[in-house]
Amino acid sequence: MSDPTATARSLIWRGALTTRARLARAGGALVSPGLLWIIFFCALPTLLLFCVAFASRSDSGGIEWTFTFDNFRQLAGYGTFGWTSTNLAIIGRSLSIAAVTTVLCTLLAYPLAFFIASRPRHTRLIWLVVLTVPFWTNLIVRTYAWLIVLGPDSPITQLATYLGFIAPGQALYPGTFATCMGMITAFLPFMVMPLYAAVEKLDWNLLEAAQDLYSSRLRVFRHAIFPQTAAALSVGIILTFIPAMGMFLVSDILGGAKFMLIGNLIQLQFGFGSGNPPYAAALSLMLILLTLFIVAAFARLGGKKEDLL
Amino acid sequence: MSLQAIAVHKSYGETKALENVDLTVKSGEFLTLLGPSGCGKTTLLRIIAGLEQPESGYIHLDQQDITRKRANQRPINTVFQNYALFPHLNVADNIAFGLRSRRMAEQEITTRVADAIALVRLDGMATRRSSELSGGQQQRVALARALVNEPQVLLLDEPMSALDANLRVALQLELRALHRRIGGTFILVTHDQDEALTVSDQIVVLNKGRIIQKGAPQDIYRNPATRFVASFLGQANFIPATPASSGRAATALGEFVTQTPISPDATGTTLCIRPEEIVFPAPAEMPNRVTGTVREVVYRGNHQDIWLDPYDLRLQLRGDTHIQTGQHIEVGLPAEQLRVLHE
Repeated sequence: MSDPTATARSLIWRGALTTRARLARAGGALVSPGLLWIIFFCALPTLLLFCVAFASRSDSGGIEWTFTFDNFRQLAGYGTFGWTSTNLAIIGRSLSIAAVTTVLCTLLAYPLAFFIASRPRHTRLIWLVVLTVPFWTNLIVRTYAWLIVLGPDSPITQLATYLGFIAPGQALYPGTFATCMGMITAFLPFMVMPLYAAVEKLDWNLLEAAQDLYSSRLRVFRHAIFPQTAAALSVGIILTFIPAMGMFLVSDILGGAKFMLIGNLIQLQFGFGSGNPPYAAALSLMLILLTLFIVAAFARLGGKKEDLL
Repeated sequence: MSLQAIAVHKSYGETKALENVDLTVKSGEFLTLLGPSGCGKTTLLRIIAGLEQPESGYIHLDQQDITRKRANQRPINTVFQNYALFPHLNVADNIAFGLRSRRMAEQEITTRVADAIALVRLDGMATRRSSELSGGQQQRVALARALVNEPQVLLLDEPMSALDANLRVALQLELRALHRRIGGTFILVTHDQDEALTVSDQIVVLNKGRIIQKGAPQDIYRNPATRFVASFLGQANFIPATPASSGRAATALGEFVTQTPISPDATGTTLCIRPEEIVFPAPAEMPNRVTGTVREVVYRGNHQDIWLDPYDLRLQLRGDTHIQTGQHIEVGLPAEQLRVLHE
């Protein structure tokens, strides 16, 4: 097989990568597919979304290109019958579900990351595979599985009934609890993976120094573990919080008919015929801005932004 | 405060890191744990610090059993090998760390930190980040961070190993001066014999998880208990010997009168003499004389190292002694310095 250093040496020898112009040309060729992908499947659709957000709904439920601010007025809660708090409640619910999911994922992921990192080297891989195995199954299937786990006949439900949390014969879904469970299973690996990578590289000397200097467990975490894992944690938060904010599938299956998140609302409004696509576009824009704002706040956590975005 | 390790055992899987280690460190003593890597010296230090638990045995501090106390409950502080300064804190906050853990009043912390900074001569560096400091400065911060807590025992885990040679010597002297000035019990771990000789009141030599010898630097150097100690601390010639008539030792170089008579039933006995103890030229009345050919002369400035054939006998002579390769010389091994070591 070819020796990579030898290949690199021959490249340098021939001057293939050694001049700025050649480097720019070679780099440009490598970058352009990704760049084109971003332009066509991310930048242009977002621009389109932006335009549609200021258009009106046609009578057939499509888009009519007349400029209006109505969608944003409706978004703020001003409908045909005056102001309602429905949207505010949906936004609030989405924010809190995403926040709770992120916080619980963090609380679960730290011990898990430490557990995996403390396994002997050859068994760590097994644990990481165990963690990712659920991803080999579609999210819909995984979410439907919760209907069984939280169903009226499951031991968990019976325990909850015994403890008096729910009435006999009822299931643990639909509702906030079931949605949170679904969300956590969907996003936990995204939090564990970056944290595990950071924990594995942890400088244990700092933990020992903190202990040696009379620190409580909390203080050890605050000054020895947290600063070393903050960058990974903010990656985990971004990977968990953003999709959790836009999630509609899990809440659709486990949340019940009245349990609407921004994602569900957008999905509903994008339905041609019955929906209002311009309104959905406005909602999407708001979701993007809201998420960006929150993520930007968390990105500071990692200190160096270039590590994250 | 006096510190005692009593019958301490520790093993990692099959390897025994410490075997039945008993150690007493007197109050105010500067003691060095000296040994090659893997001898268990760092393990012993970590057990004293509370960062590791012994399998059996006890650690007593001032007659009190602290074996089961966690590291954060022991009035013992450590200067770590790589300093382990908190990168997100500046010099002053690093030094204040232990005091803040114990919720001391901020006013008191300020005074103590200022004193500690002055003690290790880091004035003007209080607001620097640890990444902006040189190795020597980081070491001082680590020292100040430990000392500011007024620990009953200060542990130093190879604190000089990351520094270059010149700085190391300077800091060794500084460390000794500091110990004299503030008192307190210091325990240093090192594999560097010069460092051990420079700083300590007492040296404990460890090998393969056991304490081989404990004593003042002079005692250990002059009277090594085993061949291992003699070779680890300084240089030495080893000459296998068997008992001969009238308490003399028979060797490949001839029969010698030794420091203590060699016992008649001894086996595996070695005679030991340090290169600088060999006398040249040998006075006529000296009993243990050896004739040899100079095989190698290495000039070292203030002295020169000579290797003699036969037997590769090594000696050290003054730098201005005239001697050449191939020269036949007669050297004397003074009986009072020719030690008898039993395996």
